[in-house]
Amino acid sequence: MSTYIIRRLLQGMVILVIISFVCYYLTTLAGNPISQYTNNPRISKEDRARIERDLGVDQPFVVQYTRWLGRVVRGDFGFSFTTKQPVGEIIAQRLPKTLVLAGVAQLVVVTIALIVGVLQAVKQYSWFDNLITALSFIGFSMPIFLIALSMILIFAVGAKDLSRQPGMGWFPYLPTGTAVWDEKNPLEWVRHLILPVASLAIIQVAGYSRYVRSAMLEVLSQDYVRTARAKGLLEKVVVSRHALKNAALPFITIIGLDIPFLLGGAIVTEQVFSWSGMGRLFVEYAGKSDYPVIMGVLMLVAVAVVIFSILTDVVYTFFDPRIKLS
Amino acid sequence: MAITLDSPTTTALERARNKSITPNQLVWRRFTRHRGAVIGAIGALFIITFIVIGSILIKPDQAIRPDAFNILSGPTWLSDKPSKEMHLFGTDQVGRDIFARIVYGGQISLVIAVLALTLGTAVGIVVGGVSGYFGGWLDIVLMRFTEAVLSIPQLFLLIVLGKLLVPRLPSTIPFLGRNISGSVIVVILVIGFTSWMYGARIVRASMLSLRERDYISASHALGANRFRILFSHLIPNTFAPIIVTATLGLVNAITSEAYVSFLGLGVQDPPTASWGNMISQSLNHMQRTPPVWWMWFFPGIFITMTVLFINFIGDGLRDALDPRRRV
Repeated sequence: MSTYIIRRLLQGMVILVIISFVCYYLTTLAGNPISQYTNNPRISKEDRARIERDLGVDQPFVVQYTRWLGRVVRGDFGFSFTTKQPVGEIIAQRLPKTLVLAGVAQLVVVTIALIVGVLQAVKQYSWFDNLITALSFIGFSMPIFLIALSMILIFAVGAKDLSRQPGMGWFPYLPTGTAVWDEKNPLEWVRHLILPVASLAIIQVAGYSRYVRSAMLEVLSQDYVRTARAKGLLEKVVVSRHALKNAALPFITIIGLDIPFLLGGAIVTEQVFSWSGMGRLFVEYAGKSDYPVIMGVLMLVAVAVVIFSILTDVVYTFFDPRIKLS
Repeated sequence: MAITLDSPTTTALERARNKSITPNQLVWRRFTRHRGAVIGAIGALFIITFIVIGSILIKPDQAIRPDAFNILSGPTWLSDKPSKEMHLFGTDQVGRDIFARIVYGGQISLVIAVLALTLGTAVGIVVGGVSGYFGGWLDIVLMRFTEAVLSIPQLFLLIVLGKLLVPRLPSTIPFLGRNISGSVIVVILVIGFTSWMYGARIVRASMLSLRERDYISASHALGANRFRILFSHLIPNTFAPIIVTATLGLVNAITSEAYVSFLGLGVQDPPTASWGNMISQSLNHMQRTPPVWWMWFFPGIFITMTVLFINFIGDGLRDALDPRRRV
């Protein structure tokens, strides 16, 4: 086990280096942090050259990259080009909000998907199963925009009469850039979370419940389930204690592989609902070609991808002792 | 995603009656008996017909002509104010007719989706094929690279490639007798180059199992060279999984177009409408009272319908092409 984890970690390191190289290269290709000053008459050519030198972006790519890598290996992600704050600090300010949104959404999604998927499998081809199947197809065919905007239209600005007055108004809607609310009040958090979480949930429950359903169907047709039923166990016990445990396996893998990307933030949802998390942070700094911040966010996601893929495999062995990692 | 509608079922009698049919006929039969697939195919045909007939009946000019007296007016049939002009889906922030923009934007969105998918699939086939067939260090390098790209959020790749390509391409290109924004090509390249990874992995996986088969050894023995074996014996046999991934890739391409627009790197308007940029423009008008919902609702519904039908078709194809599924 431990040799396996060490080997996977070493492979992970190699992948992280490749990722960082590709990302850094693409980032430098895509834009220069001083290009925003090019048309500013108040900044002279000499000043621009000096800023370039200060930021170190006058050096060739290889030099910039190795310097960056050298610092990162020692745990130093550098300072933002534009705000001069340490990258870690900038990310630490935004990460909690993304974690709250993604965490709550994921919790809701997994719970609903498990319940719905299991019920669908138990009552295969019933009207409930067919209805949810149809809804799932519609759910994951919808772009998140459509759901998010409909939510706002109906529940936030709302409309009782589509052509005239705003109605409902149950939840706050903040136009982009005006996100100011009392963050110390937990009730406010709940009020602001409901619509984005609901939007994310509608899209993701659709996909996840399909997995649960097909995994459950496969398990329910196996011999040991028949044995359990033959023993006279209650159907409830067979489903929840015998079948669900095994059906949960593929589901765990999928969740484990999806989680790291949640750290990058749900960009559309964050933008539409003015939720200042990682997604908006990233788009903001990508626009300014702020290399250290961009790389910081990307490496956070990449490290999470590597760690979670190892973690998923390890957790797998706990649930399924037949699997041996080697 | 493992999505299954009802599997096609055939009675034993029918099976006996139809003993000798070719594999292609079998696939066709399974596809046409798949309820979802048929709904999807009819729906997709409906959308294509809608766009084609719309393009014939409506002049391209109508999708780009501003009308200062009709800014953000709702669908005519919902409004009680008499109006000279008919705007079935309303008008946008400069008074352009949304119905006409759905038709012409649909052309653009579908062209982008198909071309981006073709590009992405081609790259995937080449990377996966080479990796799986030649193996060794080439395989290791290519697969580590694929894995690395998969660990980068697609959003980042979209932003970076978009910024990289925009200044390097012509600003307008001719298309079906009108000039459209050159950014369409950027969007195609950006989506194509960020969506090849799953295809590459699938092709590689089926390649690994195929290359150990007897018929490949036979070709080797007959003196076929490696490229001949790769391109005429191996790759054609990976088509079934590729077709399924490709249908789902089409879905990804259509939604990505909307995402790219949302990030401000999509199809430039004016002069060119796309379903994606229609939605993202509407975000600037969200706080209006009364809400101008028709701006995002109609393009959103068209994206949803298109994606839904393609998902149905993909689901049907998966069942039809998989020889292990029951017939």
